[in-house]
Amino acid sequence: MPSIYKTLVCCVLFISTSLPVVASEKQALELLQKMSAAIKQLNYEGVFVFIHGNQMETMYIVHKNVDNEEHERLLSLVGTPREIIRSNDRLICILPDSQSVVVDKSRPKKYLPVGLQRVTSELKRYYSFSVAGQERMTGRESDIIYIKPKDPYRYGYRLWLDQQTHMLLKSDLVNEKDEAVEQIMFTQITIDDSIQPERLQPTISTKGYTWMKQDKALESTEPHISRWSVNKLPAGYMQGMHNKHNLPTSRMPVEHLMFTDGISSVSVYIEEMNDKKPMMKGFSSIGAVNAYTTIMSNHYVTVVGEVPKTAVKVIADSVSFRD
Amino acid sequence: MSDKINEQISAMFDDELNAEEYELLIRRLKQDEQLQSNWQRYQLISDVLKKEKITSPGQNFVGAVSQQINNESAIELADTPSQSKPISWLKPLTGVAIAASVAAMAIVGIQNINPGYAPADPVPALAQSPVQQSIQPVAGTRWDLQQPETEMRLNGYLVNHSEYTSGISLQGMVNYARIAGYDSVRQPAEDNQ
Repeated sequence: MPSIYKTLVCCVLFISTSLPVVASEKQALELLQKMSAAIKQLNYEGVFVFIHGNQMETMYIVHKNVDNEEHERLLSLVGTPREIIRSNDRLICILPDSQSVVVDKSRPKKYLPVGLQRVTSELKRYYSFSVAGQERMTGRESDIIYIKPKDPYRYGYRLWLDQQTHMLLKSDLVNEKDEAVEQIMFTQITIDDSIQPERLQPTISTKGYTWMKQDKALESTEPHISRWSVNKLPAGYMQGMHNKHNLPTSRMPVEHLMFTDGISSVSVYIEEMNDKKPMMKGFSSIGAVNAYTTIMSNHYVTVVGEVPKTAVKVIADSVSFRD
Repeated sequence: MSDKINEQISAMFDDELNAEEYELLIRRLKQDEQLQSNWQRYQLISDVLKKEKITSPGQNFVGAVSQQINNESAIELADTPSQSKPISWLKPLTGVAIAASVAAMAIVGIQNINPGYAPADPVPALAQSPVQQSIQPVAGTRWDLQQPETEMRLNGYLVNHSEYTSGISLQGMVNYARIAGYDSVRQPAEDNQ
């Protein structure tokens, strides 16, 4: 019965070729989960570069986890030495160029190593995950993970994870042609629990600086009835939140709808038109972030996200207003 | 690719190629994608070393990429009613929670620093002096617009957006770096005021 043998051979072939892919995917997702936790829970100190277009920024970072609370200090190393100190409840920004210190309440960030397992079946419909190999990065052995989108409505990632600690060492945001649109890379990193709390203290003397504080939370969390809706979303994007904010850069309360597929996110901002502050229509971009603005029922509708142009346009075009 | 060609690219940036070699190299560059990417790397290194902005095809890299994406034919969309309830598992995957609010503060700072920037009149696109030319938006560091009001508002959106969506990588850091890089590009404008 040769046909049975044939079938058997086919089955064996199929299994032997598909197994490594499945294994790689499972391993990639496990590593991602560990990375997710590592970035928040580890104590580390280092310098990273951020390359976008033909620009490069260099930043110093200290990150310390004390009793499951994140503390962090960032310092720009090139140009004006801006410094940011962030803890769970407070955000301090030292701006020597304006001789000012701005203090704000930091918005609550949920501290949770995300339940990636629960979302993987969804995520796997829109991205493929794989372990693409090993490479030395920032002086450490690392695993390379590829996250490839399956349609043109999201970017992909190439991630280099430290094999020992699973800390993210390098991250490329890539377009559908596998070209890096943005890159972040640690050029030096120390992962060490003994990083002293003093390292989180600001180094810039703020003597004579103006201190600015914002006392109350800026956004309302009350649910409200909205007349705006988004009718067409690329597959996989779900509504994450719907709210109104007062933004420091806009006078009116701005309506905000957020959508995410679990990896990529897009926001829709709706703001009443104000002739004194005209806004340009159409596309704009900053690094890998794309934005698209339209005008509808006397409102500016702007879609912003670290997603391809196609995605912001499609979403913006589907916004509607109920009279 | 041979080292020789890489040397030539390097030599080109140091203005050490003669006209004939130059022409030959350009011809090869046009045909070879790998070479183009090397060329962009050299360009980047060169720029970083010289600490100056450049006028190169590399400048339009991101723009070109976006353009490409935009040109893709429309792809069928799922009709997804957005009225679906917010889903709790759709928390952003990971992310160093370096804040967008950080960047928000940076923006507040920028507004304070540069009074000419905040409610300034938009720069008429056709009335640019050579000096203004030199601070034209560079892909990646600023919104590719010439309209301060719009840029400011987009910054506000971006900052707010990232506050709710630290993505899969070090996106928080990126957004900060993005905004932080903003005024260093603006700097020449200030000098000229």
